Amino acid sequence: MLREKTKSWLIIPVKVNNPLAYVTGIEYKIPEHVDTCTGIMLSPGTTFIEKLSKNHTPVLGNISLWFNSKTTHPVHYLVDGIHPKEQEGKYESLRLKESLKGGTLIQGLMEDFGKANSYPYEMKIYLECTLKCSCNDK
Amino acid sequence: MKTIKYQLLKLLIPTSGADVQAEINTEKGYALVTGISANATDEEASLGCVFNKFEINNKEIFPEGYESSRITTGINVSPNDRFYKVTEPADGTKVTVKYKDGGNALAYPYILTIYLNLENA
Repeated sequence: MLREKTKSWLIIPVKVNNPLAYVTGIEYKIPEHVDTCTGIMLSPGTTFIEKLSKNHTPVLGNISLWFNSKTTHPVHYLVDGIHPKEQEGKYESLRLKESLKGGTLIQGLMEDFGKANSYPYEMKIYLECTLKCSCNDK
Repeated sequence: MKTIKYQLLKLLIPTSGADVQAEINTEKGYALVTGISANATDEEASLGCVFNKFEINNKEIFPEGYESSRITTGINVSPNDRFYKVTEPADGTKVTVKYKDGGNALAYPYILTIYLNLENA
């Protein structure tokens, strides 16, 4: 019997300890029960950067990710440091053309630019995924 | 004819770093929960706050550690686009929320309001 695929979020926390150690390694194994991940969202997490003007987009750092055990390199993106109260739009995930498979590794790095309001902080990578079964149901 | 109702779940956050849990049942007479949104009375509060549980009808909607700010929107968003889209059964199902404050509010207590968009197809 075919089961409807359930949507689920995976969260990868990335702890940045101080601006001098400015490159933080990332390694995370997608759980086996995940079918595919087709969206990614980056959050500054527990920190932010003060906006200097209305049109200023503060940038926390640069993230670079390899997917499917380093077979592809689809994400090289700036992480914004906008405080949630300054958010003007809606948080939505970026579509991934290269979908992630369950059981594979995501590897990469977070390069911090030394401008966060506080250290250490924990930024988060959100992956929008579907599960192989209705494992969410209890 | 489609009917829509907005149901509110209010959580009082008493102190910095507090863990707060609440449960409600969705309104009877509405078939689906089609959207979720959140707003806090303290604008600084949203930094670092997470849901440690958010379930509808015993199904996980957001995992542990999902920032509550991710389902808030800015003022530039059209009102009908302000909800995080879901399609989950309503009509009396249980909604369970566990929320952990990030310790950044200007003052305590403050109130977090979760909005559920209920619809009949």
